[in-house]
Amino acid sequence: MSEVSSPSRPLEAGSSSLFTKRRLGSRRLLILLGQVVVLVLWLTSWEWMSGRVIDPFFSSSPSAIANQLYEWFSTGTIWVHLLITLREFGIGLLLGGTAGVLVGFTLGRLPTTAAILNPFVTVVYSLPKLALAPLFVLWFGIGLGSKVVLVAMISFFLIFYNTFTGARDVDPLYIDALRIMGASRFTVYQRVIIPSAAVWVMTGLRIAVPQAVIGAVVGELISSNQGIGYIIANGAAFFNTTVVLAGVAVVAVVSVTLSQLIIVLERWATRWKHN
Amino acid sequence: MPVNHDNGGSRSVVLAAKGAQMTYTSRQGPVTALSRVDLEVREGEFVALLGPSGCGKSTLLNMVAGLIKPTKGEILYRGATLTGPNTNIGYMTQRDSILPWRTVAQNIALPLQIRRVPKKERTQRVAQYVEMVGLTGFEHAYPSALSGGMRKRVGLAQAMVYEPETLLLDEPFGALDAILRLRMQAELLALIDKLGATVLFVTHDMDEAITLADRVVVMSARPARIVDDINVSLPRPRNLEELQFQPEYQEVRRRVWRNLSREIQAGQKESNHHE
Repeated sequence: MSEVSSPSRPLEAGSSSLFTKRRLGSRRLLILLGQVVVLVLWLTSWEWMSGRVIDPFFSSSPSAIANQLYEWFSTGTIWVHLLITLREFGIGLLLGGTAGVLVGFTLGRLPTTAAILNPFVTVVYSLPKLALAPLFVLWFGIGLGSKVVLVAMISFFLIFYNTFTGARDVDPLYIDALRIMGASRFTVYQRVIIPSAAVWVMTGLRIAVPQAVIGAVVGELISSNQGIGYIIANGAAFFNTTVVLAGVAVVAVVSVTLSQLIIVLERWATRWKHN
Repeated sequence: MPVNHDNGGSRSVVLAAKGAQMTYTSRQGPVTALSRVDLEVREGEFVALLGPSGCGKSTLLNMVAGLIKPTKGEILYRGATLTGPNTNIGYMTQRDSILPWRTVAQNIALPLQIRRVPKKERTQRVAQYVEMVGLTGFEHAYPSALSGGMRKRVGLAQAMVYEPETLLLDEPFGALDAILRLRMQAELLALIDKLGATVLFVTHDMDEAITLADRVVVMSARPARIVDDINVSLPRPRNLEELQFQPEYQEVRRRVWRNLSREIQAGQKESNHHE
């Protein structure tokens, strides 16, 4: 280390960049290795304690959960439920997200209207939407409808707020530059406001996706006859810890996968930021 | 092809400021940035606005661009009072206004796209201007990957690519190194001669003002007004490297310096007084 940073021995640019690259690579490897160690330690100690320290009735065990998952996927019984949950998530996010983007762009460019509506929007935003789930069941039934509304409501606000901020905070320098070039209002929207706010829309989407998954599952927990949330609620009703935890594991994997997809999409949409 | 940039009354007035004044309201009370400026620029003239930093030169340029309205007086473009963005001009602002989500080529093509120039001609002209500003090989780079000087050059190409009849340039070469600056100045002069464009050029570099311009307008420290208006009757085309050794150049320089140094000192006194 000291050899490299010593000012008396300037390094050639090529060799120094090679050095940092190699060090970066080994650092990444170290992090990955550490993560594997933590995971293995956690699972083995859980497995060991289950039945010795804690009653498996309360904690289940990694092997029992793995067995349950294997059974679900080998017989295929889980797919119906998984697809139902994904459908609630997908339709809800699409409806809520589209509405959020449209309302966000509109209010972002209408500062006076936005100021009038501000307190009302803030109040509705602050409401715990999950607490409204029982009402949605009352209004929209125990089927798909109530969950879609819940997911749409959650994703609407997260995407709306981000889009609104993005559309409001467009640098006026860019807008002026385009108007001098002779751009119409529509062209200014198309070439400046939308691309500039796109970064914010993507951030909103990234935050909304895991929340929307939670919304779909909680909606099912409250009342349903299908979906991963139903599986979890059913397991809990029979005090079957293994089923509950296996269900939670499925939700976690779905949520992480969807989030990663969004991150890839976000990277692509904002590729101009990284060089 | 020598072009005669005479300051005769035969050419028509392209742009004029008539008693233009700009007063901002700040927390400490009203601040006058520009006090009663009268200026006429004739067709094909190259006028340099020279003054201490922060004196309000950019304010005057923004007025001519139609982005801000003078609080008193008016700005005329070809005899008509400006009421909105002036689309007859190419404007290169001091802060670069190129769009970060567009590549170099896409940024330079933008004004052509807005003016519905056919794709084939667009590609051809973009290539020509990319070469002029020395960015060949960087066509597909995003601005985040460019240095400050390179971004300035994209801005210059963007302001000139649609060959507007009037160019407003706000310290276009401030961020460039000496050699590149000399090359770009020569390129600019050649192109302007070819297009016969009228130029209003803001700088705080006295030598740059004298080497490039037909007229040097010296402005005072804040609140800015015009202190002197000097004809530079050096013949064109000018050899920028040898110009500085000519006796007439030295004569103009002495006169400009007398005015400018007084204003710089006044500006410093003013800012010391504020502290």
